[in-house]
Amino acid sequence: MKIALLLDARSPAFLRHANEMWRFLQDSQIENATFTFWLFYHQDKPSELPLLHLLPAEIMWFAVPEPLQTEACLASLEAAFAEQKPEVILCSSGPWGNEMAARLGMRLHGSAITSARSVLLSSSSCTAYKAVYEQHLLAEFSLPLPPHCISVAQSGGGQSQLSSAGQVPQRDSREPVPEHEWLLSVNVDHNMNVSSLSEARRVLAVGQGVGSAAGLQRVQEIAQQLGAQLGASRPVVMNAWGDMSTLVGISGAIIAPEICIAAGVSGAAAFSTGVCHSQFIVAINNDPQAAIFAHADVAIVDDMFQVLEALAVCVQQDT
Amino acid sequence: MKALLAFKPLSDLSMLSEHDWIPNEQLRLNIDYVRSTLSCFDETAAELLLRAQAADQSIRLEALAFNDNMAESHLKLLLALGFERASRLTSPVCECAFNPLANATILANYLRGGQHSLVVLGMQFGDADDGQTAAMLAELLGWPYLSQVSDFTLSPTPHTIRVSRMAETEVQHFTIALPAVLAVGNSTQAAALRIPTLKQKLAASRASIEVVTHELCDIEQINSPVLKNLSPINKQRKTQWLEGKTPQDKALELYDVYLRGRMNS
Repeated sequence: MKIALLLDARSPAFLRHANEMWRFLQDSQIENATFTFWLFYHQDKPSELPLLHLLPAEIMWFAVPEPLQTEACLASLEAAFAEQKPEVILCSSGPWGNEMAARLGMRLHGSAITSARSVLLSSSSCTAYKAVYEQHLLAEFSLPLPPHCISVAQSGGGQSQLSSAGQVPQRDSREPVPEHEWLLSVNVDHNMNVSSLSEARRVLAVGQGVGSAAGLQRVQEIAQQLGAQLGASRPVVMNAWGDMSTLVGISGAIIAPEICIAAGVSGAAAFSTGVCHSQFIVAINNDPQAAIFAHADVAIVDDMFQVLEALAVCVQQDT
Repeated sequence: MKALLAFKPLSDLSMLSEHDWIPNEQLRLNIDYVRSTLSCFDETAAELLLRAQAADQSIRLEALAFNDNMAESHLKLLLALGFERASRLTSPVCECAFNPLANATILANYLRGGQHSLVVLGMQFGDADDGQTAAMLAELLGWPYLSQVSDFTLSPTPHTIRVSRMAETEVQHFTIALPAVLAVGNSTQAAALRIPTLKQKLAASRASIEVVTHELCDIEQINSPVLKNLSPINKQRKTQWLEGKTPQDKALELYDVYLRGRMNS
């Protein structure tokens, strides 16, 4: 069975995406597979690559213009599929990977599923597992037709190790990037508020308990003292107390830090989904019934500001 | 120019108790009685359409709600805010759960003959959709598609639209020719849907919601992933409660017992 692993090497999250793909493969059962890497790049190819402890049969490179346009990627991939005919195309996590899986499934007349946690693959069947109902239930799906176009679920955190790909045969796709009449112009503003929450080792994630923009400013300072990135629940962002780049949850960043402190957060499913991959979760809330406590390793019922300020003092005294 | 907002309301699953999480033989949860909500992306999509209409009165807005017994309240809200037409799709209902291709096929069939130039959806068309419905709809129609859209306005040139989308490290601005499908994500410009006045609400309460009952696709003919089983995901942890007398006591215990080692490793 041939499996193509599809990743965007130009993405700042390339190594995290690779790590998520590696974890997906670890959790999956796959019979007799041969792996090929399909990698997108712009101008310069990285000299070292995350090979995911695999010995790929080949690395195929696809040059794409900036900014990345999905249409250009799809045309190249259709040509690569026609040549190599992989039974499975495994796309990276996140919106780009989800879009690629959905659209490739349509164009290649196969099946598509997004945000899969794992897969059972044999020569005769493909079963994918995906969290549904706001991540409360795990759904088992049978995919009817190859090629099976599957994107990996976001699980945050960690970066894949790099190694030399010198031993692996590599070649470039010769498919020209198509022009689209409907695309009249494109330009780019670089976003100064780029969040690295998904890669952070420590996160202080706060909810409506911060109470105001001034409250958020106060916890921002505490986060710095704790050496943590600041995250926020959707109500905090909706109140314009915090920037959209700090949003944690199903509509924002999926995080997996070593330590996550969730303070003043009720624990709505949309938020809990964003922090559930954290290695260690501390919940602080003055409501003992808050749902967040069910997801926490350590629970503190108290005023979040007083606890956090005292914790910052402990950390400062120790360093 | 006609623009369609298509959405699938979300059930408020926080209302479910422990024993409500057991699926029936058809692998469905009994959530018909649960309050339904617009997703944050649907709210943003509707708000962006209203802003586009405010800037260009020639846009005629239509809303189509999928598979929800309680969709009427959302549709009345949209009518109150300035949507000209609101429809509710009643059939087929349950078969479309976790079936973005069926959703997209129904939408594509609905759009054929409707002379719409712009279709706008949220990045989540119902639970666990991940933008698939919008992407598949664009593929079925052969229309341009942009995802993670954060803003759009009609440009002065006829039949063109200027669209902004948030990528990982940049905001991309496209000018594209219509027709097009847009999937709306997070937006700082339109994070929430505006609230109608009492007068607008009263006017909308008298408006009628169209019910679309036609069979718009044969679900059995669609080669979508087939749901075979549902099992619970246990996310609960063995929570340790810190019981110090003061916040300072609790913080000290938290740091000494649980965090120091982790922070210094």
